[in-house]
Amino acid sequence: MNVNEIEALLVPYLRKIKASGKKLYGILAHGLIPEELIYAAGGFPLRLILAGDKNPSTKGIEYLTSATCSFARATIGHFELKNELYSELDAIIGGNYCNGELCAIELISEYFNIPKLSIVFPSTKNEFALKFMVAELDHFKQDLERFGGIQISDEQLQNAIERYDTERDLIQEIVKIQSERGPFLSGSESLDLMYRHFLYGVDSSIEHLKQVIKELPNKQSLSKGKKILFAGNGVAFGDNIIQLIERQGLIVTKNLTWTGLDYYNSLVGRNGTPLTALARYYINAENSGRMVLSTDYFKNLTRIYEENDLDGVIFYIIKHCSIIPSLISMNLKAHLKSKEIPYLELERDYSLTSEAQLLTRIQAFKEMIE
Amino acid sequence: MSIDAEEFLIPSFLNLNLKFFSAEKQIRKFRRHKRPLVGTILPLGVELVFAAGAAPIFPLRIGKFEAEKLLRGTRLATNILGSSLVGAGARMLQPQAEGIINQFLTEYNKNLCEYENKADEFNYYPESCFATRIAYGSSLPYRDLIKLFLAWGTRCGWFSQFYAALNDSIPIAFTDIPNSMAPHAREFMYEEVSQLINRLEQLTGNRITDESLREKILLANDIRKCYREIIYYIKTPNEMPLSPYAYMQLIALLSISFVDFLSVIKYFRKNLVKLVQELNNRRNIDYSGVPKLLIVPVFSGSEPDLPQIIRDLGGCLLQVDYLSYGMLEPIKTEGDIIRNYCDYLLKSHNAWKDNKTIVTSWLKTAQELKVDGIIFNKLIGCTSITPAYRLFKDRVQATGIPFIDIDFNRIGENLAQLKNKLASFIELIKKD
Repeated sequence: MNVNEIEALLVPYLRKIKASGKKLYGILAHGLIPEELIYAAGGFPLRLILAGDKNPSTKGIEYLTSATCSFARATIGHFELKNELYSELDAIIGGNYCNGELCAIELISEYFNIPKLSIVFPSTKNEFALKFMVAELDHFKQDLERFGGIQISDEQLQNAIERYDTERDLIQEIVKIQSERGPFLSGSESLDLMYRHFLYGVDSSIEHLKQVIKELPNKQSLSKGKKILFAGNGVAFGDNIIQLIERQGLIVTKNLTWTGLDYYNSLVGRNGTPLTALARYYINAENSGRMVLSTDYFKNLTRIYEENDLDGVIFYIIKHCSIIPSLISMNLKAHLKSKEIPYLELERDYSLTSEAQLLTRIQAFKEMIE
Repeated sequence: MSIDAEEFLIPSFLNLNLKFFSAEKQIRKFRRHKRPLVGTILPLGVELVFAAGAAPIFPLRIGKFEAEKLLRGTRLATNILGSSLVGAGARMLQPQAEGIINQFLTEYNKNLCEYENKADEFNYYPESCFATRIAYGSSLPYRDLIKLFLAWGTRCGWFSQFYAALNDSIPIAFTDIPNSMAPHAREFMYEEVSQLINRLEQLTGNRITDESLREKILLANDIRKCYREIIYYIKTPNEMPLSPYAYMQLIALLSISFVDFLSVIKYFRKNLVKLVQELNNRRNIDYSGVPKLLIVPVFSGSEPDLPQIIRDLGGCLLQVDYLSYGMLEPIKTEGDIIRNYCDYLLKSHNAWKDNKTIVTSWLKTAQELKVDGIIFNKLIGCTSITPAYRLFKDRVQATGIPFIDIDFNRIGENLAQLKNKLASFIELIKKD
């Protein structure tokens, strides 16, 4: 997928969806908004993942300060620049797990007259937090019902969960094939699979994933190149960080961010009522990046690294993200150092950082692990 | 602007200043009495700590201060000469009083600088906000003394990061405050506070009864009432009880002391109540011609030299975030006391749940206090409240209140530029 496709194919596709009576809901990063509920409400969840260009990120400074994450700034910037993709939204949905998102959603709603729906996430994961999360999702469900003038039955919600779990199953199958017989797909190609989900929705993504699985055995294995685990901030559509890494001869075989296949490594399933199952799934979505993380993040990362016989870790930071970089990067560095795992931290501000700077660091890292 | 020695010789004012600088002595005393120290950087949960028989401590208060010696000397002198010093006595103590006030601000600021440097030494993430950097730099050196740290899940990511980082050295009691007032949020808050109570009870071996908590809340409510009253003096600027610099110093003292109630809630309350009684009898200073400036937000840190700068420019600076965020509202004492406390926590957090709410609160405060101008403190690194600037800028214009924005990252950065900017702003206000 490339940026040109947005205007040529995606915008007409979304207009068609709207014409069929579906409401279009814009959701920001992190993968924590339960799309299943939107799907069950007959809506279409569109991930607002355009970023990476200098212009929107700089434009966003008119709304957010320059010390706010450049992803959030770029998102507002695209509204300000009247990007066609964002022009069809009926509402915008956000959570409180990230300040950039919280502020961006508020300002988008205020300055671009788009109704806002919110979900409050607990910071903790204990039984009371889960109970709160179930109630909060019920609250969100009611908001969707009011906004859409519809009712969401348990059956509809269960069907939606199954639909998304089908997609997760397919993603896991690809991850398995990649690990056992591959890798066949580069990091960029894997990222494209996720972009399809974010922009074209779950139904289109399922068809596409099935096709990819069918074609995988015919692909040549990418045997050359050191294998990299990529973690940290997600990669926005338009951000070429994975391409930059792979252009240097490294292969991103594991992407633990919410934009990576590995993020979808569990299913919602039938764990209590549909809302309870959803709450349990999303409250445990550790790699999304949120206010408070448990130490499972580090254990999980190391386990995946060791099980997949990888050669290094690249930790990606979007400048001024207040969640991912600080503590995780400090602790991760120490943790990986103690295990003698090669580690590179890359930081990027879409409005400032030059590709040349990043390339130099990636090259040096490659030489080190070779 | 001259300092009137007599203002600083008000015994209750002196006592509060003295207690403020006595944290190290207090800690020694708490250790002797086997009262565990509980760290805090937000004025939340302090009543629970007292009810458990532990001692709350705001680590920023700990340090060695020359001012303490001066204060002790001054208190001794007032005791000898009598508290209603007149004529030669007051003049004799004039240099002392000037020393105290200058020391209060400069020494406290010096301490902040040290804590900022310590955070760097401890490799604390440099891009985090000033408040959490100094919180880390001030807490970590006392990791052997502080037995538990109160940690709150709020909308601020930097606070969460700070608590998580601190947890490697000092055990934290993490209590989530949901960003909602819905019934299920109240239930969740109740469960979270119950867990915190258990944790405090385990720490001290004492039970927090409804009555012990109610007693502490009643004391805290008196403190809140006095604090509000002191801020509200500014509503009648022709009848102020203190000169602008002394008033600014008092406001600064209260904003820091309010975090841990100076670790001695009864003493704090007693002296504050006395101070308000004294001040109510002294409403004879006219602030005509003194521009009153509200600074927002200061919650996450501001240039500590600002009060002096504003003093030199002939103005009066008001740092009253706690008023805007509803933290000075009384807690209900009838009925279920724990639920009342939970409601207070929820309300305080919901006052800054989003930037629209927070901007509305600031403007309401500005109008209520009839300020002449607002300084928007753009804290570099603050990703939650500073981004309210755009909304603030667009909304403040409708009120007609002049405003200016200033940047703040590290102590002492761009001071000359800051002074020039504020000088022009104050000139502008004076002309109006």
